[in-house]
Amino acid sequence: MRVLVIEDDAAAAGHVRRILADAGHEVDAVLDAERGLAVARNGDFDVLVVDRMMPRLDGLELVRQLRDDGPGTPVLFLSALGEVEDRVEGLKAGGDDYLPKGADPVEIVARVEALGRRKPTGVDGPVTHLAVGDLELDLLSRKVTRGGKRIDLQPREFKLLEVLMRHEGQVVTRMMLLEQVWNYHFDPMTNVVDVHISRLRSKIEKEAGAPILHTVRGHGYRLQA
Amino acid sequence: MTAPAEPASAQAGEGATLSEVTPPDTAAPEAAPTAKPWVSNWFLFVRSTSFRLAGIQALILAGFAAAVLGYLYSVTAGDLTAKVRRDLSEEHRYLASVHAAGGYEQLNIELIHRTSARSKFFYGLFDPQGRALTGDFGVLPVEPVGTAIDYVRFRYLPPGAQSGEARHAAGLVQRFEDASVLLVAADVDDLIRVVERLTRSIWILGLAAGLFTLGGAYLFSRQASRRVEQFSSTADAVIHGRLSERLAVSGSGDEYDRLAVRMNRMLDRIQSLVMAQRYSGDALAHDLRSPLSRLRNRLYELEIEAADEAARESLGLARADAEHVLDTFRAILRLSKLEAGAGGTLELADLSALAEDLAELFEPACEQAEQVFAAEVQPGLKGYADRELLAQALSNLLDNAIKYTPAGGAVSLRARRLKSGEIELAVSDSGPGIPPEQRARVRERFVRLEGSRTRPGHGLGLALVAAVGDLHGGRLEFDSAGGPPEAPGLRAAIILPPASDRGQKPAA
Repeated sequence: MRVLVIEDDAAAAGHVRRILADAGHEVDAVLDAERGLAVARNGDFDVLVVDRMMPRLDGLELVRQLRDDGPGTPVLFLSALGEVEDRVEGLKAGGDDYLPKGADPVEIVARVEALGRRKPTGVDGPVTHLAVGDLELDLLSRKVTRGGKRIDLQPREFKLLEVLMRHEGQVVTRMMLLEQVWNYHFDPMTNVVDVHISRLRSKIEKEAGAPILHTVRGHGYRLQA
Repeated sequence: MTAPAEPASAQAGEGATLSEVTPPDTAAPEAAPTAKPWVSNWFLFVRSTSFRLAGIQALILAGFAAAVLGYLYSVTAGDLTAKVRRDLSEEHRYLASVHAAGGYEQLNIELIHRTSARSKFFYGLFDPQGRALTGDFGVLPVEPVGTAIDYVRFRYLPPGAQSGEARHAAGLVQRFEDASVLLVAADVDDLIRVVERLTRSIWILGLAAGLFTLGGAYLFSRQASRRVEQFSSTADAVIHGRLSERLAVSGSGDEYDRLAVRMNRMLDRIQSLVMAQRYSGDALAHDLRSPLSRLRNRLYELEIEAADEAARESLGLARADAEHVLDTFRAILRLSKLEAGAGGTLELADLSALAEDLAELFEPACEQAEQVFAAEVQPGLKGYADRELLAQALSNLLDNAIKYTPAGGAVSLRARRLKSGEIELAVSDSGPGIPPEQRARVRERFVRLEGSRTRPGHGLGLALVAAVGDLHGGRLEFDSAGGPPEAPGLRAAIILPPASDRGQKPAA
């Protein structure tokens, strides 16, 4: 995956670059916002990681200008302004995801990978059927089957599985699940997500046996056949 | 209000061991306090200094009034009565001397003279055999005792008067040594009427004076108590963290005003000290954030580069510590923002749905901790709220409840409309609870009670809940959950103003 990091603080830019490179991605970093905009427009990147408070050009403004060209490369804001309101502002300006600066490295990698993967799916129109191995989920009839056998899920479990299946093969962190399944952006401390996952796991792995929902120690989960 | 809650509590109450869920327990404590407050208020009022002072003043006044009225009585009615007695005994002494000189026959002659001379006295003379001689009485109205001179009071019927028009008379009666009896009397009916009227007026006056002074004492001390009450409620507000509250100054310049001005100055000082302390914390958190982030990033990079497993592990631990400090700093800054009334947008929100969502999120975690979870959410609760903040506040309470409740215990989330129209979101547990004297403290930053220091967390959770409550114009209340003494449990309630109170106080 090709990632462009636009961040005026060299140390912070180097850190993000390092994290993503370690995860196996090809990373360019630009320390100037205006130049960053030009690079983003011309280069072929899968994901942009953009800081918000930069001299000469604010990150929000940068993304707004980029979006004027039409929908394109997904943007992850990485900003010291980490409040919920800041997040809403970032998404309104055209950002696709938002993380506070100093977020966990695994979190950053997971978000970037999730955004990079999203690019092609939008082109083929809405997805109504998801499949991972012999696990299938139909968004219209809301039916879940594994190996042809029907699995009964609660509405929340269905949503949880849907999010995991959309990110097949990727790490989905607890924070991402809280955001996408429950629409909360805070850390509830107690391991609430883990318990929901283990309930879901017991349902989808109960009969067919083969493990499909994997725990990525300390960080999140990955659904992979 | 209780009616719609009944069915819900009946089904939820079965599973939960929290006694506050079961109706019979809630009924009992409600009945008792209704009888008490009046009594205890009255008791407090009587015990108040102002009432005692007013009472003493009333007593002094009453004593003075009694002295004045007593004097008034003695110079009027008392004097008149004494004069009648003096006149009577003078007349009697003279007649007795006549008797001593010439026996009752001589006295008889003297009395014949006096009766015909229309004296103001009545007479009665009876011979040793008890037969009436001269005088106005056919029979003795009062029998004398022995040979002493007796002062007697009796009633008589004047000639030509109807029965029932008897008049008061007073006199001296004496049985002489020869057994004859002399009665000298005077009509005191008018005098007695005057005295009666006088005594009645004096009583009424005294009673009125007493009532006036008592009433005055009551009003005076009520006035004083009211100001003292104001002082206490302000002090309570400050104790509960509303540091900007001040005592009202009436402008009369009395001693209460002077005290209020001093106390307000003291509160200014306390507030500035607290703010300074808080600000220094904020500044510290703000300034240290960047170097700490760099430190953490460096640790991460070293962790990746580390050749051997042991080095990687200890670098990982160091990074985790740095992350914990960063998290704490982030929480401090967030809290300060909330406490300053910034951050958060209040919108009309479905609080029932919010509570249901959280119940759904936390229920499996409770089950995993082997706790019984019960949710009791009244439908249709609406209020102005920031969904995210309120959810986080409730989540903090639920997180605490789960942490401090032992396996086999119970945790419950309850959302309902109170009789006052306010909306209560309460989390109860069956853990060790918080002693009443500690409940105000736990809202403060970094206050962690004994036994909780070993648990993860940065001591800002309840401070955040309190700040979120304030931001919503509501409050945070702690109570015992009504369990046994060894594990009373904690009931933490966020109480929000009714949706109709929009604009009353959205931010402090």
